[in-house]
Amino acid sequence: MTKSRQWMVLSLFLVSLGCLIFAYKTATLGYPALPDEQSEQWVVQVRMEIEPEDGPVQASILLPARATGFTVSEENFVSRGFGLTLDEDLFRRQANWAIRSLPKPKTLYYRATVIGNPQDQRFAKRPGMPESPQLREPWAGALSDIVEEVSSESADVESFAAEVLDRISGRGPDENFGLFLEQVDTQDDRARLAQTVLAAAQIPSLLIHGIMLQKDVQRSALKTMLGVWNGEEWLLFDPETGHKGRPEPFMIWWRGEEELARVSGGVIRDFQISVKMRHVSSLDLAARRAEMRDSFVGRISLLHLPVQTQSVYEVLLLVPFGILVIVLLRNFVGLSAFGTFAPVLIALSFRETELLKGVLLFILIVSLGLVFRFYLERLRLLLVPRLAAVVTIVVLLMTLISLLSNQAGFETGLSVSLFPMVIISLVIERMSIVWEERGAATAIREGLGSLLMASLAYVVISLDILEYWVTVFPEVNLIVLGLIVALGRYTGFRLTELFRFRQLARPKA
Amino acid sequence: MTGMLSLLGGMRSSGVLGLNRRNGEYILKLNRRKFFPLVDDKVLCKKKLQQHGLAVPELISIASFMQQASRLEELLGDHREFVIKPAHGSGGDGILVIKDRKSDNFVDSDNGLVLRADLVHHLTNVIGGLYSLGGQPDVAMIESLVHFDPAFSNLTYQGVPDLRVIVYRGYPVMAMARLPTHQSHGKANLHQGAIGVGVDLNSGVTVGGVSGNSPVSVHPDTGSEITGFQIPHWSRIVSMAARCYEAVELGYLGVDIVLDRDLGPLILELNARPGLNIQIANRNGLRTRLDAVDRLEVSHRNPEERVEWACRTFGDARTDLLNQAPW
Repeated sequence: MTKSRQWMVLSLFLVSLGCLIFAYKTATLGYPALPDEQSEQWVVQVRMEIEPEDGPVQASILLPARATGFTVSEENFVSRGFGLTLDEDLFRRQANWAIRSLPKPKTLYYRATVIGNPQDQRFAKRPGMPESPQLREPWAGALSDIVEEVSSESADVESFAAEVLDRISGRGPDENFGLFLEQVDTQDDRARLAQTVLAAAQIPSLLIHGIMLQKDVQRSALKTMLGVWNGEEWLLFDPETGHKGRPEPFMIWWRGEEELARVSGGVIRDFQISVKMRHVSSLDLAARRAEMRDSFVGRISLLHLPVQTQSVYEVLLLVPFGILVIVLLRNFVGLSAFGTFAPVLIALSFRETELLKGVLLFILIVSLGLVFRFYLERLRLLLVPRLAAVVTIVVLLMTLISLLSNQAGFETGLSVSLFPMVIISLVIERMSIVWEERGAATAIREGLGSLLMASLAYVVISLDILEYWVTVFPEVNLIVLGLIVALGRYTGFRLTELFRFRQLARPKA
Repeated sequence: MTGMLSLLGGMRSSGVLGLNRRNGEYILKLNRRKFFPLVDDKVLCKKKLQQHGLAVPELISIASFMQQASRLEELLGDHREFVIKPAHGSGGDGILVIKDRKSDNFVDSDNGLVLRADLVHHLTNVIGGLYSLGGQPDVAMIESLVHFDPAFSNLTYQGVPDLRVIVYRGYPVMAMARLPTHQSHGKANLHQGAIGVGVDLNSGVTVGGVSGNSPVSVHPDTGSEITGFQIPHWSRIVSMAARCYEAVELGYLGVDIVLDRDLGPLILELNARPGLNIQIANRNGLRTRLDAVDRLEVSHRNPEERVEWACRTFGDARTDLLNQAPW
């Protein structure tokens, strides 16, 4: 590779690397590309009150396990005095509490924070073939009639299951079902009846239990759905309505015939599941999802830093954007200012004061500082002590402005303390030299140039979107670096040179 | 916008050199960093030039410590006229010209009175690094004052006019005279208000003229016509400029020369980042000429050969542009 093309490769590499990480984070980890996107999360709490009998008490509840739709991002148990163990399987999780003796009733809590997780598609294992139900007559005959009839009216597993559910809910005409429906009362019974029919047709099925995540519910009712295996994947049916698919707020909790909670050595006096919805930023959710996936990119996020450190880096990571503006203004437009990057630092201080007030304060402090500087010049102080004196005067001026504006009830005066006084002092010093050497006009023009650059840099770095991006996607700075590298090879005219050399322009022959 | 584009096209076709290209294509490529100190440090530069037999204004003394500043007698000896310069100064900042001494005080180029204490203060400022690039502590150079050639008396207001020659890879490519004005306080620096006048490389006759960024043809203080003036010792000036390439090995170089009444041309200083206003003064772009040098198949080893080639190639080149120029 020749040296002359290297910069281009480097620049392209940096820009595309930045874009790739950005794309990975937004598309795969679900980081929102724009700020202020809100998502919902739910706090699901299980409260179980146990009244003990004599002897040791053992209690267990099933916990939400991996499933399509939702996932538990955080959970905790409140069960003082009990020993806690967890049984964890891919699709089954159980918490077991045990205590040798329990003198008085006790309440156990399980609390889980649940977030949406559309990524996972599965919700149960591949099933084995179901055993054919062994029934007595007349039910056995009725069942085989039903299977025969329904299969003649359906094309595949899906339509078979839908048809069965329709008939169970009494929407379809059938006398054979009447025999079974006499014994059906609850939702669960209907689902079990459907299971029996499906088993007779050699279709594996599974009860899926869960809750509907609504806004805020004190006592959430459990809901049972029917999972039907079509040979490739599980289909979910609502036994009540016969609709296929998971209703959006349905959170799958556990599968199969098991009881949600069991107690030995005591009785459950009260059991309730409550749901509370919260709005959180999508960002927190994405970060948590990334954490659970153990993604490297997610793990090295700035969001893991302590909050104060975060805000420091937020400012630091904005600096390259300010610098990019300066590079553009200097090498592309052709403006000049005091100090190479001093305008960026001035722009950073404007963040504390807002633009207009910042500019006014800057002009005020610099002009007052200049007056003192010219006075110090007459005292013939040596260079370093004179600079030190200017810094001290600038600090005192800032304090005075703070005190005065505080008296007058303005807030801005207080934030002025974060103005970079050393930078301002150097601007004052440079400006006074230019003032003497090249006249007031040049000095004021360059001073205004500094101010203009600082203001433009401020406008850019105060864009909300950038502030958000540098915190969440620090890799955007790679793109900035790539652009700066590319700009470093720009050898064309500057905008101001078009004006400066305009008399030399020769009309094209 | 289209106006701007056609302006851009026009500037391209007339071969104007912009700052970005000067920095990126010429200075970065041809001026090796390690040779920069040779021109940035005026004391070092003076010694190097003397080694190569090039005439420079005499160095009277050097003040490198604060304590020396107040011992004026040691520094100045019995010189009544002298120039104080920061060794690392740029753009003419920090240069103080003293024309005369009155008892314990001094007279500067504006005929203003400079108190002894003012002079000492100026020296401490220079030594403290006020005028040096980056603010590092510096050295104050005290040089003998150049008595400019009376030929220039109508073309200058106080101060000393000087000549700037751009030397590209050893070939003189463009030249101008810089004439101090009242506005520039006698300094020959365009940024401070001096006038730049283009000089034809072949004949040494002035053409065009620029003040700031706008063209002028008359000196604002003396009222004299500034074009058509024959600069004395021209062939020696161009040849001295070309020989600087052997001394400092910088491929893109600005050579500043003054004409002394008694000593003839003296090299004042060298500049590794010479400004671009010389193009306006000559009403001609630099790039065409730099490209012409780059296109040379055989480069001339000998400075005299280079000068001969350059004067032949670039001399009288201004006429076509001058006649066409739209202003």
